[in-house]
Amino acid sequence: MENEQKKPIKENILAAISSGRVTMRPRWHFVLRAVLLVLGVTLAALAVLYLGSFIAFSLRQTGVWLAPGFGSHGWFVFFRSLPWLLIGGAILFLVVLEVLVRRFSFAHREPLIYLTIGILAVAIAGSVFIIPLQRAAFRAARRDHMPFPGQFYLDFGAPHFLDIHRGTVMSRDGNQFVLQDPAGMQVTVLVASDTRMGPDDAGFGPGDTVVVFGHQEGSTVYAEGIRVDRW
Amino acid sequence: MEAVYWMNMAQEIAALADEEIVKRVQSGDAERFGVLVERYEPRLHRYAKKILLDGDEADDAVQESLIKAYVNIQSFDATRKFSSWVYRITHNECMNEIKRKRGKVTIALPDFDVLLPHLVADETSTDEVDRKQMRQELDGFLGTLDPKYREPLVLYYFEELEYQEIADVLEIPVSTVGVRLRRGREALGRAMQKNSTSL
Repeated sequence: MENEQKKPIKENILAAISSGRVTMRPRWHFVLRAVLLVLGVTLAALAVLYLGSFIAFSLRQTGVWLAPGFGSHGWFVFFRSLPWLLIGGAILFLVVLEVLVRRFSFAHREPLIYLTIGILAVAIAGSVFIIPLQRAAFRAARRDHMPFPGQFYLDFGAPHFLDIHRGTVMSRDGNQFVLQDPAGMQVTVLVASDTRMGPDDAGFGPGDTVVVFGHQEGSTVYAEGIRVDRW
Repeated sequence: MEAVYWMNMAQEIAALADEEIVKRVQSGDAERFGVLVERYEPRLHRYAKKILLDGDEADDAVQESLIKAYVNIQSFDATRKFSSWVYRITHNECMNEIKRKRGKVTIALPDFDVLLPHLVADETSTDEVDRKQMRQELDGFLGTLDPKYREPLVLYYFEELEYQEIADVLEIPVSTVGVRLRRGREALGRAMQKNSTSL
């Protein structure tokens, strides 16, 4: 019964092929697709690495990464100061990267979690590895040697967050010192008896880079915590 | 003389592996694709019918699959298995048809079967003995099973594909094949139990 109703699939297909209604896509079509896929993966990976390293660099450059060490208020400031726009961009490119990588057959052989962890690990390790390049780019931008992305580095690389002040100690006098930020602005930092400092942080002096956590009023910062930035 | 020549040629082609025939088609011998259609049409039809549960829809899915296989045959890597590749195309056609029948766009949630690692639980020889009985049981209850579990069961028990081949067709890890087969059998058991209590 089933055989009687069965359509002549083979005849249909061969007739379509011989009449030219169905044609084989040329090999170059698939080679081009593969090249575009590899290109897409490469661009997405580079975007992830660039944004990831820039986020890590800007957190270090601004001292935000040390904020959690100053207690719950520090954590609050840390989350408030994160570059969410850049983080969103990095996550978007990570998703694009994962979607593209899943088009390769090897990506289906292992559980998806391995692929996700692998991509994240490479992204984080790669980002940390190329932070020195970001620092060099930032320095070039400050010396006005980067006409196009220079402003981008100055905008994101050295923003001034409330309650976090990173800069170089210009002079120290008892319970106060003068701090100059990367933009050249100077503030006076007052150190109180309850200002938190690590065991190795108390002996800082002129020339040291420090991160000061504390409220600013005018050109005076009331230090709640100080860390020497040995980066 | 000519009849003998064609007979020998036909025997030679029949003895060729799928992948060898694909190489010839890729080189421009398009007519040889008919041999592949002959070999795979019954198998793909049986598979599609058990997934779609409709003979006419299965016909359409198989015809479309084989046409797509021809159109994209230059993308096939002849060092791999043609059967997995062509089953994969048919799987996609069937899934598209099931989605079209459902008639609504659904958001694909993460599938934890594919996301997390599982231990591989290969079939034992005892399971092999039960294959025939399993096929009979499955035939009556396929419609009650979620396509996610129906497919590996059909590929394993009816199409007799290996775990690795099923993994290639469904593009899931081998360990997930084992998990889906086990859950599919459990779902089948529940459906049979429910049926027996309702009688």
